Amino acid sequence: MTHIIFIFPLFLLANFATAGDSHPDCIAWFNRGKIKVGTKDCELKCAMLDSDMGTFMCSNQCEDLCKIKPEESLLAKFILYPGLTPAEKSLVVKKPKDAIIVYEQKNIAEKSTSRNFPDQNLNDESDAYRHFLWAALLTKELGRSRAKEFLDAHEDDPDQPDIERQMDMNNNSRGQAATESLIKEKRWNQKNVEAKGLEELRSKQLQVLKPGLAIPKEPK
Amino acid sequence: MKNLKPSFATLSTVLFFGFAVCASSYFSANFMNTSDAEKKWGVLTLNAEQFKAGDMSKRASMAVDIVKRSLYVGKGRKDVRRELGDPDSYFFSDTIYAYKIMPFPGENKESWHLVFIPDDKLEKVKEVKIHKKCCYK
Repeated sequence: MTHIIFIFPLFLLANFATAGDSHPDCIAWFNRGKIKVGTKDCELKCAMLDSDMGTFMCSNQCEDLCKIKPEESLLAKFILYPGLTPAEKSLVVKKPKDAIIVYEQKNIAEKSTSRNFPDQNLNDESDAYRHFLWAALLTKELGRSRAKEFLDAHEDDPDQPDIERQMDMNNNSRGQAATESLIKEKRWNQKNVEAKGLEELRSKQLQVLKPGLAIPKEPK
Repeated sequence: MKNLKPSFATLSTVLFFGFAVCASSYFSANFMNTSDAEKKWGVLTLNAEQFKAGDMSKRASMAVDIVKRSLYVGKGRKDVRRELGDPDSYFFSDTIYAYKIMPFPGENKESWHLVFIPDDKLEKVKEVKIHKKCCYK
């Protein structure tokens, strides 16, 4: 496991510029140019990037630097862990930096859900709260539309019953709205979002298909 | 060339820690091996109807049978749901079907559940494992 962890950074970089044999300094040079890989004019923009004594040879590697090879990336092997929907996989490859934020926030949402609902299950209050909070945190980090892309992608499971998808999407939407409202009121912080989630559970604004868990009065 | 190295190092460090945080909950998961599970709960031949009915006194030992005989490996996720009922637990993602195999023991007390890890296409079951739901130090 240790050796896998230590090679993560190098492979992750390969997703910004998937350059098989490119020099690391050229990958860094290319990524600083903020050029989108896989686009028609990628190579042209790459060739026009300013270079210095250390990077003058990098423009020769533009063809490689502009290629997208998701199947060779670490994302495909490690970040694309089991359970991702096809739409999520596609987004992870297209937007790796956003994807990292998405999973960091997912982790935060899951930890908060564990604190508030020790018995986390599917379609119950913990599920509703987890979706609400994840959507709220993501909206704070990425803004409404970028967050929604990932949230909707998560629901792209062909085997998921419509009623469950509807519950998740409703609760995601409530989370997004809560963050926007709290930001507008200049009251956004994680505790306030968590409190809002619990309040919306109590007032039944969050949808719960299998209710039965006790809802804490205050976030833990 | 030297002035480029800090940005490379910084970016890779940021990404490394970012990923380490996000992936930790999956890759640090604790699964019980079959022999330990058999010692703990014994084995009971799966009766899908009884499993579906949610009888917690039998689910754990039927879960051992499911894992031991790889009963659902290679089967469609829809088949799992149809035969064992709607998932009633949660592990890492809604797409990983999870089933309780014991009653909730109380906060911060050890508990386990049965999880069905899907394949890359999210169509069939790749692995079935007994996962430690709670608690991690």
